[in-house]
Amino acid sequence: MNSNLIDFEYFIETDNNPFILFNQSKRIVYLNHSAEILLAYVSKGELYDIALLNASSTFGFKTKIMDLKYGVFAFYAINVAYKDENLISIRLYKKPIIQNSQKLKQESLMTTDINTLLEANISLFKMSNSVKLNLLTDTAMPNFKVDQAQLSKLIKKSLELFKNNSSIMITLKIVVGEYIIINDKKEKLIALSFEAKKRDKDDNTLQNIANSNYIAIVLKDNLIRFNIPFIQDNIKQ
Amino acid sequence: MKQFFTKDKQIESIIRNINITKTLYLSSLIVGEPYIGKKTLAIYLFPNATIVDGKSDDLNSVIASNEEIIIINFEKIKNIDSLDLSNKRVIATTSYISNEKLIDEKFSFIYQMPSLIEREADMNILIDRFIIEAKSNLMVQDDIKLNYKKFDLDNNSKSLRKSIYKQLVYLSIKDDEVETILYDFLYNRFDGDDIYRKFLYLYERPLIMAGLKKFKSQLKLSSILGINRNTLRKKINELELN
Repeated sequence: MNSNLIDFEYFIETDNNPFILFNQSKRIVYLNHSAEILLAYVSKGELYDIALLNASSTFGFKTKIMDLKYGVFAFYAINVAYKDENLISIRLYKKPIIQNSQKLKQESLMTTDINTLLEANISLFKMSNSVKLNLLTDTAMPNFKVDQAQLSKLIKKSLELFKNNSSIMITLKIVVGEYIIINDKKEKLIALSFEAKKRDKDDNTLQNIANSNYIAIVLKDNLIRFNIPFIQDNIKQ
Repeated sequence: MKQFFTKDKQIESIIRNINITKTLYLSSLIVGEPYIGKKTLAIYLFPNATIVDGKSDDLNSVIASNEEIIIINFEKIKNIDSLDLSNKRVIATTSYISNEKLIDEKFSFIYQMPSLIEREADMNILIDRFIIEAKSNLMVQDDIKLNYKKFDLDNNSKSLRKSIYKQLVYLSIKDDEVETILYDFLYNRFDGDDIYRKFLYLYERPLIMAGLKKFKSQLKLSSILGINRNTLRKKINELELN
């Protein structure tokens, strides 16, 4: 078969590893689905600079082992390729995801209005703190199943870690295009983030609670973000 | 339905917050000194909940078989670690927290309830209620003015109620009732010799103390009492009223 006739784009599009093709003026000419999601966590400029910095000295390609972490994504290597002055590509290789050994138990999940849970924790926080809280949420967010006590702990803890700020931005929204596999079932995600100028650190506590509940967590100096499984039906056991 | 009267901002916030969480399966803990209304507040918020004492041997089975539970005297529970409060609506009350980490694990919301002395508005509500109750129980109909400064708040509502009853009794008592009290008191203590001198202080001590407070001068008091100034001074020394 003549390989010129094969539509390679489909196979790149469905690759789980992000792939981006830049032109010489830093503009994206093509990106696959995985890269689209990645760009919610890192700027295209930063990826372009990494590509340029790690490109081979002459036309060709170079694969380099490096640890990169953007939000919930972690990569162990990149491949940078260019065959002329016009186009340069970068492919980022995802680290294997360690399967969560703890299975979610149906009986621990209760149908929850996350806005109520959030409101209760905010109200408790306000009882002993005068920090201004800005809340951006979808009040029509459908109920979903979650371990209420565990999620409440994450919210409470996050607010406490930001208490030494003049204001905290809290955002709650449904994540588009990202999923999580729980007990062999694909579930949508809800993103709950807390953002302020600075925060105190107790990352291990947050990570332990989040990991045992299939909640992905992004920890930055100014941000805590949880990607919470949006489970609406019974989960497979 | 049990009522809970408060004008305190902190308690109003606790009520508001627990009301928000009423639809959720979460556990809340109210911490505060004894006799400040923790149990009354819990019952007011969860009138249909099953109430169980932390001292009860049936604690675990009560928790397992109910969805909405009030646990009083949580500090008395011997093995908190073994309690499974998950997916229950629990409201517990405790006088103190002995193991902060464990309590933090078990409870989603922990509220500090202020003592009575910190809640002036609530204190006045309680005083009014206790006075009405005491007057009714003691069948006191006179308009007696109580000394608010003498109310005892060391043990919150318990000592407050007791001190109101005491004051009402003392201030409404008649001469013959004082006599009856003294009669009963002395009758049971007739033992040994020199009884007259031994119990004379019961009359002399309050008499001289009240006189000194009222007239502020030993000279004037001795004249009013109709006794010699030196005799009065001697009595004051003997009774250690200096």
